Amino acid sequence: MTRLLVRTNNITTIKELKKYGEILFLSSLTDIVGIETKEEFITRIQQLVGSDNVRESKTGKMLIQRGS
Amino acid sequence: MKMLARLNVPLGPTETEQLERQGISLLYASRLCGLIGVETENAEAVMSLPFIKECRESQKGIALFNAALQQIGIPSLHSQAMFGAGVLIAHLNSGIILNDPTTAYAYIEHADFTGEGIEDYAMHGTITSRILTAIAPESALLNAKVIDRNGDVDEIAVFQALEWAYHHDVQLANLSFGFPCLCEGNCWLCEFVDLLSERGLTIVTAAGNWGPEIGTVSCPGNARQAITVGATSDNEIAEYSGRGLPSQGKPSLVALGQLQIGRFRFEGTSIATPMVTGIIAALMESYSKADILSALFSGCEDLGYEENEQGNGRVNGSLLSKLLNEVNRNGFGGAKK
Repeated sequence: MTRLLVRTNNITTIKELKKYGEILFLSSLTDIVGIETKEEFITRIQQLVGSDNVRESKTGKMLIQRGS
Repeated sequence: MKMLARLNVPLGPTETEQLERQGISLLYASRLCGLIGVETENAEAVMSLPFIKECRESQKGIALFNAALQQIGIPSLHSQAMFGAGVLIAHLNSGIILNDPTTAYAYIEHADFTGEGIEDYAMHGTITSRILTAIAPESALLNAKVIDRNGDVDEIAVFQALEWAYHHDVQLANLSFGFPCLCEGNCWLCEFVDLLSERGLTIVTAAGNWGPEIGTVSCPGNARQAITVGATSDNEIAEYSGRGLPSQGKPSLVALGQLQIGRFRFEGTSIATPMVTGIIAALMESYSKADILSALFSGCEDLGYEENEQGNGRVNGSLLSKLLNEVNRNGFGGAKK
């Protein structure tokens, strides 16, 4: 499974996206949708919205370290 | 007033009765030495007692954590009764320890965006929320857990948490994490941060620990409207603190990025970020957020570094409150008191 961010505000497209995985984030403020899906569906999602409108959800880090 | 007094005779029933007659409360009587602790409105009454050899006011001690707060001017804010009362802060982090006496009282709402539950397994949220409650002890916190037990944070979780916080009408959000990314503020997360900032949510976020090369500020620290915080260490810009691109205007400012808790020393822009969030929250008890944000960068100390290293300088709560007081005295600004 992989997590993707998809840029779309089209209701029909969002309904279509639901076929490919679980919608984790649907905003009332922005046109970014978060979805958890299988790797095999990435290409289909890219074809649905355009590859420029799809990217993987990044992983960040907490910013602390033990001092010397 | 609390006082310590050294006796010239052992404390007995006669002496205790004399204290009572003067309205002096006995707080402490040492069994090892002729020392007592009392509380009284009338210091002279204590000094006039025949069995008192000498006395003085009980001093305030400084715990190690408080040494850090001293350095950023927090006692000055607290002496002006600025404790952050009425301010709601979204704390996006690794959760909280539910029975931590120093922070648990402050939380009014919780949400988990990691699937692990709201407890702090990474022991990161506990540290940053302690900084917030030490600086702005009367603020209220929303616990938005986005960092998992491994210290990782998923980008979707940040979107979820920020939107959740926005819909809870928070005024400030503290983000002590980052996504290493060469970005000029136009990635989707940074754009979302800008959108929320325009709608009134002030987002204070870390500059990242991937320095010192140029262009190492992490996202969403690259968001134009975020207050992006770099870290100082021993009065210098910490080597690890993220540096901005030329003319990017990042970081926005720097703050103390070191903390000693007992025998453990922690450092990072994670530590610096809640220092700034806490200062803004504390000041919001007396001043409008708009005035504070207008004065924020003027209330920083120039450390003599390049702009892409120190931003506007090192934040100092005491300097900032003096500046806001002057603005208020000159008849400008929306002071609350």
